This record gives sequence, structure tokens and C-alpha cells, in this order.
Amino acid sequence: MRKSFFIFTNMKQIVKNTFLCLLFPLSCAAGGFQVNTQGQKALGMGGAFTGIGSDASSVYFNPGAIALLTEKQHYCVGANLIFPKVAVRTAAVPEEHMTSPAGHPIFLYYAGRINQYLSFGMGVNNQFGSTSSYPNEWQGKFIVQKLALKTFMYQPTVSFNYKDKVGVGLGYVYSSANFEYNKAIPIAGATTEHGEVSLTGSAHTTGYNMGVFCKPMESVAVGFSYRTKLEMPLNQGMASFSDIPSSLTSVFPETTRFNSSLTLPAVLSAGVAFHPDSLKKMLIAFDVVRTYWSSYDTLRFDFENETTPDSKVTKDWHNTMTYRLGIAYKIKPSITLRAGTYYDETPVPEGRVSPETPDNNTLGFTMGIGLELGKHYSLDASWLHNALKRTGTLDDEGFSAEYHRRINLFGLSMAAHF
Amino acid sequence: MKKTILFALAMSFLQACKTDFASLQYTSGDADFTQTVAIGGNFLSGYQDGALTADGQQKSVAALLTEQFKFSNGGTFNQALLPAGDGIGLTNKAWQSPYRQAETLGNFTDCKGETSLFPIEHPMRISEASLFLMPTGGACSDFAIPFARLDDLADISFGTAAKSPYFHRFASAPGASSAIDDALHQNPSFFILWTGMEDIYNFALSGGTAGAITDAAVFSQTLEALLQKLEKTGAKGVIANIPDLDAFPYFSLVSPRALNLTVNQADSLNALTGSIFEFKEGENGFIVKDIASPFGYRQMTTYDRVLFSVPIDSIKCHFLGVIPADMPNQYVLDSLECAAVRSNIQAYNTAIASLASKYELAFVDMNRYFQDLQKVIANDGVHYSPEFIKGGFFSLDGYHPNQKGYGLISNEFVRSINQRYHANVPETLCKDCKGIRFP
Repeated sequence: MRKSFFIFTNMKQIVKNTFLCLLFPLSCAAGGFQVNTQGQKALGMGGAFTGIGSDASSVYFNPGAIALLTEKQHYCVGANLIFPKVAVRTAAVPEEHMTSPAGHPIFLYYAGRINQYLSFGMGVNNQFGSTSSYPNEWQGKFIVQKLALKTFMYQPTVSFNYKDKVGVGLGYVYSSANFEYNKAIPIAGATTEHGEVSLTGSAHTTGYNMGVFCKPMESVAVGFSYRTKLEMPLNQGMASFSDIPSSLTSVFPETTRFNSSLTLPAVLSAGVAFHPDSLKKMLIAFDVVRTYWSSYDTLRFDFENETTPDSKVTKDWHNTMTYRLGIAYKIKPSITLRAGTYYDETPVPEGRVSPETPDNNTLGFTMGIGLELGKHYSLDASWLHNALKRTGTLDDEGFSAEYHRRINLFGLSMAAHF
Repeated sequence: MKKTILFALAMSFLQACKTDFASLQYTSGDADFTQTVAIGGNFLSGYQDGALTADGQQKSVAALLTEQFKFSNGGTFNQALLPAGDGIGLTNKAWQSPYRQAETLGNFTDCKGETSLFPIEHPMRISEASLFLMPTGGACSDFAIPFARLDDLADISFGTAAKSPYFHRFASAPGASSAIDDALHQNPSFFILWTGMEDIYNFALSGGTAGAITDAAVFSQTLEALLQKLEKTGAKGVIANIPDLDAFPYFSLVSPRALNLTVNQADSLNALTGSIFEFKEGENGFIVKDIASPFGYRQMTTYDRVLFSVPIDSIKCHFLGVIPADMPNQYVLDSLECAAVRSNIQAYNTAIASLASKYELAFVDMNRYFQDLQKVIANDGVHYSPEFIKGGFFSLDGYHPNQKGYGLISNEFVRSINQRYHANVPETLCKDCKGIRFP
């Protein structure tokens, strides 16, 4: 008990440092702007981990599973590098490239047994976010020059063990978000071709992550988890207008406050994992995930300055299914190889394909390797790749394009258990 | 084994980093843009803000199109460019000067002392105009001539300075060669044709004071004669039709019932006129001459149009349209004239559509496009509407589009050319095209 608390205070320090050092942009590695990079073992297996409870990342994947972890204390820390590449072709421009930087989402997990019934966990990660940027003067500059969303989730968790067969966990999620949206405004002056607006804001909210983990047989595990939606009120955001002709500065002042809100969707997962062989060398996992993207229906900005025209972007996204299949094989007692695949439906409907999220149904592939370093430590690495094409229109803005997107992700994590 | 895995990983990584598109070949399809000519009037010439400028010519529909044709084996497009500067436009305010320069948007203080953003006119002295009217000489492929009706284009006397100061500048033999002759002499492989608007709108813009509308049957015959000549040269082409009257702010900015009266004003006007018009508090129709009316005058209704050329100050402060003068004919398109304009546009458009299909031309339905504009056209994140100044499409004269508007129009041409001729001409981003410039 005492030890857990000690860890927790340390954790706070780590979190603080993380915040100071790593206010980084993220990039999507899944449908919409969800970031599915929350554990390297999971990543190596196509993201199917709801039915696996083998390390502290279950704090995120299935809080029910941490009560059934084998060791008393589990630590896990990891980071990823995401390289998105997006090329755009329109009827006017044969090829334009997104200039989005590499994303580097992180995660930190702790899970510890308090007694035979009760376990405690803590997680910090980046579950949503993306940075989409294009050259400042590109064709779609009046739609988007840069859109960046960064989120942090902090999740203290308790989990109950019932007869080493069933685990039920509940996490309290505190989430913070930073938001930046830059675009050009079609107003020209005597010496300027267009104006610019930059919208920045931050928000925080709370939610829950709950899970049930069940081991009906020694070789089979089943899990369910549900993460609630996170409704982020973006109050008192700051809008800055620049390059506005003087006759219009009352409409587009240098700065004005704005209100907005953003809803991060709820996610429901069900997973199963089993060892087909008696030696437990092989592990196969399958997840079905429902993401409730329909909560992302509009993005509106209400400006405090009354003459500034409010803006409303209809997103109208759809709920999606994701199917994840992974396999892990212990080629040596200390080496595990992993491979996986997933099929991810796009939440973006026809007519709403925006250059900042040129998404489509995706078939992704992952690989991973796990190395046991002695009794207590392990190192896991993973690679994810997905590629998609989409030809679509953004009807409200009169923009149609063909998109090619490829994402490569490299992840590394260190785990310890005592 | 390890090496193979590593090699596979490395290869798939390299492969995975590629998102580039296959290289794109822009083509002219069944068309040939090596020698393109433009034939037409204001909307092909780049006329805007009440004037033709060198900059406007270089971003005219014809110039923007031929610039895009260059990606698809298009040749050079020779224009008789005006000297750089604020250009030259024709006015119908003969008591000022027949010429003016391009209007600009500025802070305008009206007769009541209220300041607002409004187009500022720049009348031009005849002496200043001569610089812009000097003949240029040299081969020209741009026969988009402001205010040229279809019969003007075929008329050899149109090149005289009196008839067209614009064509006079570059006619191969001013007063002895017609624009069509000169265009055919270029041996065109492709033509951009947008004519007929001036046959109707010269009439409409002047409130019916500048000549009659060309009879639709005559227009149709003249157009077919032109198409036959062009067909003989083997040229292929694109033709556009005519937007309706309601498309333009010029005909809707000033309400025909914008005579705002107080109770006292209404009462005294009624007393003065023997109550034949029943002036009321609030909105009243302006008074116009009407020989069909028993009094010789009547009040305007919403079926009439007051033109944007009307001096606004005279309405606001000097009771123009009531006392001492009725609304002058040159600022009014009355309901009968409107009906004539509309029925002729329909008849012209029927002729254009049927000749386009008979001669297998690419056809641009500009009437439809301007109708769509009424419901807002979104393009690359900008929302264009017919709203004056704010809408971003029309120039300050309220009738001609600005360069952004012309850019959108030229992309409509590109799309129908691509479709008809199985060509692949890229659309223009029109990056240098100017829209409304706010002070």
C-alpha cells in the first residue's frame, strides 16, 4: 500500500516533467483522430488486447484485467514515433503534400496489487490527437493550414479480483486537450492577398474507463471495456486575426475570445484471447471495437466579438467498427514475435472528406518483438503500417481531391514487474 | 532467416514511405489548342470595376483558359494589352466624360454625411484616355471586345474609333476588317466563343436607351453563319450561354420601391400631386414616365428595376424619382423591358444550346452557373455569392465578375472542354486573381 503511494507521487513528478518536456503533436494512427498506440504488445498484435491481461497497459485496454496480473507490481513506459505521409491531388494541382510533423505519443502505466481482492493502477497516455498541416499558401488554405489537437489522459484505476477468474475494473479519467486551428480568410487589402486566423484553446474534462476481464478456462480469456465519451468545453479560446484591412478590423479584430466544444467519442471493445497449444507458446487475440464517432457532428466557434461571423463546420461522422486480430509466438523463452492486422472503418462520410482528415476504411498491418531481459524486465518494439486512398469531396467548402495516405509507426516500451 | 526478415522489413518500410501519385500527363484529347482564339464580349475580355485594364485582360476568362491550355500543348495567346494602369471604361454619363478608370472600394461619405464602404468612381479626361486608345498592331488572338454585339463582331465598321475604341486599337485594318475576319485569319485550331450577352445587356444596362435587342432569330442565323465559318477552318471550340437578369446585383441593388417617406413627406407629396399616387409612410415606388398610364406617369413596382448606375445621392437627398424629376429612363428597366430581356435570353439560350450540339461544341451552361451562384458556390473554402462586395464574385460595377469570379468561370469552361474533348486540362487556382480589395 505504502509502496503504491510512493509510486504515485513519483508518477506525478513524471507526469509533470512529461508535460513540460513533451507538449508534442500527435498524429492519427487509426480512424478519425484516435491514437491507438497505447501499448507495444498490443500494437504488435494488431491492437487486439482487450482479452489479454499480461502487463500494465491493461489499465488502458481493460481495467478489469489488472486485478488478474500475475506479479505484484507492473510498470510500463513507452513512446512511439508516427510518420504520416499524405499526398493530395486536385483538378488544379497534380500533387501537394501534407507537412504534418512526426507524432510522438507516449504512455506510462502502473499496476499494483494491494491485496488479493484489490489492485490499483495508474495510466497516462494520449488517446486522441492529430496534427495536420499544409503549406501556408496551398490550395485549401481557406479550409485549413494547420489543425492540431493534443490530448492527455490521466487515469487512476481500481480493479477487483473475483476468485482469480474474473476482474472488474473502473478508471477515472481526467483529460486535458490543447487545440490549434489556423487558416486563411478570403479578405484582401491593398497590399495583402488574404487574412489569417489562428484559433487556440485548451479544455479539460473527466470520464470513465471500465472493464471486465474473465478467464473461464486456463487457456482462454475474454474481456470487455468501455471508455466514456469526453465532452470538452473549449471556453475562452483565443482567436487572433492578422493581415486584415483596416476597414474590417472591427469585424476581425486583432484578438477576440471564442467558445467551442469538442467531444471525444466513447469506445466499446470486446476481445478474446486464447492459447491454442498446451505449451502456451502461441497466443491468438481478437478484438471487436465500436467507436461512437457520431458524437463528432459539428465543430462550431462562437466569437465574443459580436460582428465576427460565427463559424460552424458540420462533420457528421459515423460510428465505426474496428476488427483486430493478433498472434504472438514465443520462439524462445525470452523472445516473442508478434504480428497482427486490423480493419478500421472510417467515420468520415461521403461529402465530408476534409483535407485535415483524409480518412478511409483501412487495412493495417503490425509486427512486434518482445525481449525478456532477465526476470524482471522486458523490452518491446513494434511497427505499424497502413495505407489508404480516398477520392472525396468536402461539399460545404467546395473542395474535392484524391488522397494517398501512408502511416508508419515505430514504438518502443520498457516494462518491469516485481 | 534473420537477414531475410530484415530485408523484408527494410523494403516494406521504403515502400511504405511512398505516397506519390503516378505522374500526370495533361492532354488536349480530341482538341488542339495550338492556335486558340477568343471571340466575344465583356465577360471574355476581363472587363470589371467598370473598365478594362491590362491586369484584367491578363486574368480574363480567355487569358486564364489559354494559360491552362499551355499544360496541354496549347500555343501562345496574343492579346492587345492596354498600357498598365487603371485602364479605360465606357460610361453612359456623357455629361461627365465618356471614359472612366476602374472603380475602387473606398470610404464614401454620402450627402447625409454618412460614411460607408462604397465603389469610388474615377472619371477620366479625354486627354488622359488617348494613351489607352493608341493602336497596337501585331497579330492578336483575343477578339473578346467589350460591348461588342454579335453583329458588331461581323461588322467591318466596328473597328472605327467612333464605334469601338477597344477594337480600333488592334483591328488589322481599322474600319475595313471585322473582328471575325481577323479571328479567322489566325487560322484557329480552337475557339472560345461567348457572344450574345452584349446583344441583350447593352440594352439592359442602359435602361433600354442604347439600341434595341438583336432579334433572336437574327442572332441565331448570325451565330450559325459564324460557326459554319469556324467549322471550315477545322477548329473545335467551346461556347457559353447567357445568364439571366436576376443573376446580377446591378439590377437588384437599388429597390424600385426605395423611396422612403415620413408621414409629413407623404402627405405633402399627395397634396402636391393631387393624390393620384397615394404616397404612404415608409416604402414607396419611384415615379417613372409611362405613356400607357392615364396620368403619363406611374409608380414603380417590384416588376421594374432601378439600375445600379443611378446616382444614389440624388435619391437620398434630392428626391430623384419624385420631385423635381421622375426617375430617368436610363436608370430604369421597366417591367416590359425586363420581360423582353428575359424572353430574349431564353430564345438566345435555346439557339446557343441547339447550335452547340449541332456543331458538336463543348457547351458551358453559364445561365445555370449564375443560378447556382444565387445559392452560394463554395470553392476551395471560399463561399461566393451574388451579394455586392461581400459575396466576393462580382466586381464593383455590380454586373461584371471580378478576377476571382472570372477564375471560377474559366474552370467551368475547363470542365466542359475536358468532358467534351476527352482532354485533361488542369483547372486554374488563379492565385494572382484579385477579388474585392478592402481599404
